[in-house]
Amino acid sequence: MLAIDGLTVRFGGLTALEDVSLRAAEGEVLGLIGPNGSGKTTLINALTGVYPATGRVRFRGADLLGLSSERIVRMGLVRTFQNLRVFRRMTVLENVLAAQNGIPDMRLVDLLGSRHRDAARRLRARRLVERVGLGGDADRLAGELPLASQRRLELARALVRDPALLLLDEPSGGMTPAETREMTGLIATLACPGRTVIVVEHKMALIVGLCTRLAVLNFGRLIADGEPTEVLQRPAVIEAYLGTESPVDA
Amino acid sequence: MADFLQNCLDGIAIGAAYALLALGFTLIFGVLRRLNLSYGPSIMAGVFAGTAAYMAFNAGLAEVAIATVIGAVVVGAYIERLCFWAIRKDMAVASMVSSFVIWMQIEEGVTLLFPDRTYAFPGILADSVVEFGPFFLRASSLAMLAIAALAVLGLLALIYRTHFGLAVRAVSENPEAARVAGVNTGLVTLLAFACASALGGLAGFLIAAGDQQITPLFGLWATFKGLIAMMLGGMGSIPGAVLGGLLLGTVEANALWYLGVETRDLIAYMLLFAVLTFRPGGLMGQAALMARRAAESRV
Amino acid sequence: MLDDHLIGVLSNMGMISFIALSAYLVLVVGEISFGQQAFFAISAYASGIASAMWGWPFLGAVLWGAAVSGLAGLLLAIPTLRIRGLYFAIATLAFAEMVRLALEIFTYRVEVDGELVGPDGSEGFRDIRYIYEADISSGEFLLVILALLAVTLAAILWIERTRLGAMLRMVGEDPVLARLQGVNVNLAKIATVAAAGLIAGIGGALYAHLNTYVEPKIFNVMLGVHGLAYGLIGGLGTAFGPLLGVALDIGVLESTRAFSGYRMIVFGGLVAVLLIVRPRGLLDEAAVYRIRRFFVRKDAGD
Ligand SMILES: Nc1ncnc2c1ncn2[C@@H]1O[C@H](COP(=O)(O)OP(=O)(O)OP(=O)(O)O)[C@@H](O)[C@H]1O
Ligand SMILES: [Mg+2]
Repeated sequence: MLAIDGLTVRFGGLTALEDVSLRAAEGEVLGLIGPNGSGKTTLINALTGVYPATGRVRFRGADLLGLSSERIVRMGLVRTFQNLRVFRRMTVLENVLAAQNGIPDMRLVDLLGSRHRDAARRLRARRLVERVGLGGDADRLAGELPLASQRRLELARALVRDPALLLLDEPSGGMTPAETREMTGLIATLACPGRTVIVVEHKMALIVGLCTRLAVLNFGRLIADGEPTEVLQRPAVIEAYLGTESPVDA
Repeated sequence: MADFLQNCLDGIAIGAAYALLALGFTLIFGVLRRLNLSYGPSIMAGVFAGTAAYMAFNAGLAEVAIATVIGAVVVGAYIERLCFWAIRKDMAVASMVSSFVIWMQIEEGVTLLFPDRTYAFPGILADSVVEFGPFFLRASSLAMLAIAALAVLGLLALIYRTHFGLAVRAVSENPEAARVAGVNTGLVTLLAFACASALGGLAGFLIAAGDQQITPLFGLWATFKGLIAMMLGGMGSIPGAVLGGLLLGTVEANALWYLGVETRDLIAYMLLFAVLTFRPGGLMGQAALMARRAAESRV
Repeated sequence: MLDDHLIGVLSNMGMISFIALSAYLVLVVGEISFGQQAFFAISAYASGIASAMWGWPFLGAVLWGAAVSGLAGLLLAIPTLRIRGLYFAIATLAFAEMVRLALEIFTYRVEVDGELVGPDGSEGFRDIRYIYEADISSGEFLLVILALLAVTLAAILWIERTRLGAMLRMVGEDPVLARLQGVNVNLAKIATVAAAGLIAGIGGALYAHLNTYVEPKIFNVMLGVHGLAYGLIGGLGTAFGPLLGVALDIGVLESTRAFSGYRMIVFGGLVAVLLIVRPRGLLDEAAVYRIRRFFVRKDAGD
């Protein structure tokens, strides 16, 4: 469903991604790892139209590159952020409600309907907030939440669009081991037929537990792609991590 | 053609004053990445301090100049503490608005202390003229041009040759990193502000001495001229400030000659608007602006 | 019965509220405009031309003025779309000064009833005499101002409760994130700046007709900065915020003798201190949220 060919992203003299080709099949949970600065976030940014890129990206048969972020999101490709981005001045529930712009059942007149009145959407948003474990915080301002809860909110906000492709950028970043375990459990429930999940992570336990396939980036190049435990044993992958951190014991 | 050349000379003359004003503006922007719209009024307050010294003690030129610079620095420090130091670093726009409302305060304060509005200021070289064949230039303008050139050299030396300059550049690149590296960012900022104000005081002194008078409206004039000149040259660029000042002066002088006084100001603002929308980095700051934008847009 | 002084103060508050609301709308989408007075000016002239020179009825003239200034807002919004923050603010300032200086030159006079009327450059535009001819008292005109203000306010408050309003706040808080939630950020900004122009225009048309005389120098940047400051004082969490700001400044500072002569010092200090302690004003989003929760809890939630 997602086919990336020869994707390249440059920032001035720096090549953050070089000639990356990668496939993701429908319903698959694909892990993406790599040392710091290897281009994982850049890949997500290129896919979601945040940074300009060259190459070719096809998503369900349509070309993505060159489209604006809002068009891409409306096609069903939704992401979360490594460095948390929530609307801090809105409540948790409002954040989730607001994320429903341009979903298929939203019509133009809905723009002027009261956001307090479209009961079905509200109920759905509330359910999702409960599903990610924020039921008690639904009416709190998002900016007041602790980091782990904000990550959960990002997840709820992504799910409300019922994405066909979900891109998670370090969903357990900055979390304690206990919080990480909970988050892992939560992500495990997200994959379903018709939805592909790509998880960027540094924590191998999370990756190995969740992913059916693993891709490794190093200095902007794809150096491995395959079955997780096998990939982690490859010398090139171990070498990429040497001097920074070992992929296996993290 | 002769008209045009004489206009350009006139333009360079007034442009030298604009350049001096733009230099202080650009210094503040360079360090803080924020705009101080009260820069002109702080200079105006300084010039009034000079006038007070002149009227009350019949002070000589040097003392008046010193009083002007001190006045500008004191008011500048007040602005720095209230509008910049006290406002969160990521809120550049709040600082700008704050400096605008403080402008009203300064202007009203000065008007209360100096109710007659127009006051005499001691002149220097006011009536002497230097001739180049058929063309002529006021000597005070020539002096201003020379001082603007010296100020650029002095600023460049200060920024690129001294320890203080290194600290200034560090704060301007990355305040967090500078703090971690042991730079006292608050002090550096205050001192940079004081430098800009002192430079502004000097500019204000020279301009007022050329005009031999001062009114509270000088603040508005100085802010707008300095701001436009800086924007034309590129916010944060030292050579850009001089180039922008001279460009603004020349365009204005020609517009005045060929189109009249209302049109002169109109054209200056049209130029500013065009630069902001088509090339917001100005003549010399486009690359720096693009780099900054890219850094800010990291996701 | 209201005395003339009070009617005058209230009329001023009403008219300036339109600028405050217009600056507020731009603030909601995350930009600062120093130039909303330009739309006030454009509409003052356009509506005055319509009623005094073309013989249009009053309401038609007001709508025309607002439409012209809304169009001007559109013309400002498109070229400034690529710039943000300081650059946008200075561009609006340049735009407003361009408009003011253009009005200093703008001359368009026709003969009406044997007399020349119309804008006359820096002499201004005299004899916008509709309210004398129609014999409208200042008290009645105050009611017109308040009625139009109420309609405008109601429209903004309603939009704030809708998904569209949420969208504008998303754009204001984090445009990149808003885009990634499917919001067309550019369209939202253009529409908002145009709407802001239109709203300032309503105020300008009222101003021209109440005073019967306008001149370019009234519409200087200090007018715009006041309009902007009202939202920042009163708060950016609700459209009541800018009105609170107007009430504090004109209602309290300007009308109280104690501050005469020092008003700018007090006002300037007030805004500067508020920007430090409450950068989004008294009624900011958090305050509005608390107020709403207080009432929602009382009627047992949703
Ligand atoms: N907007 C940008 N401008 C310039 N360089 C950038 C930008 N975004 C990323 N880079 C650079 O591109 C490279 C890849 O960065 P990226 O954020 O994709 O790494 P990452 O794999 O996500 O790392 P981490 O594990 O730390 O999140 C880095 O060298 C980074 O400095
Ligand atoms: Mg990353």
